[in-house]
Amino acid sequence: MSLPTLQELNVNPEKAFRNDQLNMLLNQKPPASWVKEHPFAKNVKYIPIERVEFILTKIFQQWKLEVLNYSQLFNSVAVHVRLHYLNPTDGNWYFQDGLGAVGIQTDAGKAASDLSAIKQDAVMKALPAAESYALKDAAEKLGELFGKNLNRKETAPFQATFTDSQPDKSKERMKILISESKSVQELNNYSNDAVRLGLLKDFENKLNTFTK
Amino acid sequence: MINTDEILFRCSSLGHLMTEPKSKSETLSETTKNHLVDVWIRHKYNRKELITSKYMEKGVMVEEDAMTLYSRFRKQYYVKNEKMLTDDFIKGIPDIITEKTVIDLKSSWDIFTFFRTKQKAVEKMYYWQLQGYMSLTGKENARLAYCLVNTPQVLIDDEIHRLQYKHLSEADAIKARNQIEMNSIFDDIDIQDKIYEIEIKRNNEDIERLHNRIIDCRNWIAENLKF
Repeated sequence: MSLPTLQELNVNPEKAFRNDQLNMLLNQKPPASWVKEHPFAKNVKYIPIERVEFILTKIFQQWKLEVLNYSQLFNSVAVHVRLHYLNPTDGNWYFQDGLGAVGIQTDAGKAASDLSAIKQDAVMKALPAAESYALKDAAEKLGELFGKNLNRKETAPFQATFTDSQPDKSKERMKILISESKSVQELNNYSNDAVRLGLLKDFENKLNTFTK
Repeated sequence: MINTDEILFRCSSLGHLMTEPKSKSETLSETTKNHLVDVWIRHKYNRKELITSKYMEKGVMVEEDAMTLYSRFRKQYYVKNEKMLTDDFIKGIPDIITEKTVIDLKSSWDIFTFFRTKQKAVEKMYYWQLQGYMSLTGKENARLAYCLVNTPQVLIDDEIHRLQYKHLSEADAIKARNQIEMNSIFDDIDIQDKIYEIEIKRNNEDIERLHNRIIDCRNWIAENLKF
């Protein structure tokens, strides 16, 4: 016995196909020109925030960022955001959460943990930066296009599972006509086309119901 | 450089060309001239105005369903013609070409537009479209078949989605959603009630008028718009 396919199991293959197509788009590798080397962290790649915002608008048209929380963690400020986006395949709003943290700058020569040496504008700079990191963190979860696997070594490329489930309508049409036939004469109108479409079996089965 | 004599007009647009001018001193109406400007832009700059609506979207999406409904109604197996036909003046892709008749299917948006159509004379745009098809195929008869087929789920979802902007109470929103769904599905209605046909006879005089009008249109483009 062969196992059922995901397509067969899905309650709405048409919708699943559209979701799959969106996932395929979201999981395209970002163009090389978008990807930058992090200026401080060695071998760390990233996609600039303006590019992330641009793609969000391009794909979802409507999205909004909600700051759920911000706090001090050791010598950093941390922000927890929720990225809401309008799913184009069904018109519903969904969200992804993201976290970002940025160290608070201290005066030159002072230890990062020396909170008495915090620079006057350190929080002003660190808090929005942490928010940007949080936004990027949330967006990354949407797919490779947003930088999901940029710094991962082992990745599996996304592969679409669902196919357009639109049946061959002209064949379906013939099946309906055969099944709705009320006499041998009517059925015979379809014989040539039924054979051409490979529906001889359906045709014969229907014919048998008249001759029995 | 494009030779204006080579411009072929789509059958679906012939109604624009055949609109009569308000003044008898004019050869072409404003509607016709506007259409000719669009045609010229398409040929010269390869730009085409995108006109779309939910009615047009449904028409395209349910083409095959309408074909199936019409096949069931006529008890004939029909297949969509995909071949573009042309002559020296016009071009077009009729939906169905049979031995004697050329048939064009039109899908109504809902049951209201479907039944209202029955009370009206044939739309001029469709009349000229079918005269064009008869000219292209050499058929003596044409048929316009209005079909009432279910609206695709994606368009129903769009309609329901629009309710969000109407600030309805939850109870009213549910009621409205149910009504939209009810108004979009017609499985409970007999096939005989879901097709409305209009027969149109070939009119050689009108076809000749059409050809003469196309010559006028080409001349107008050559005189007024530069290629």
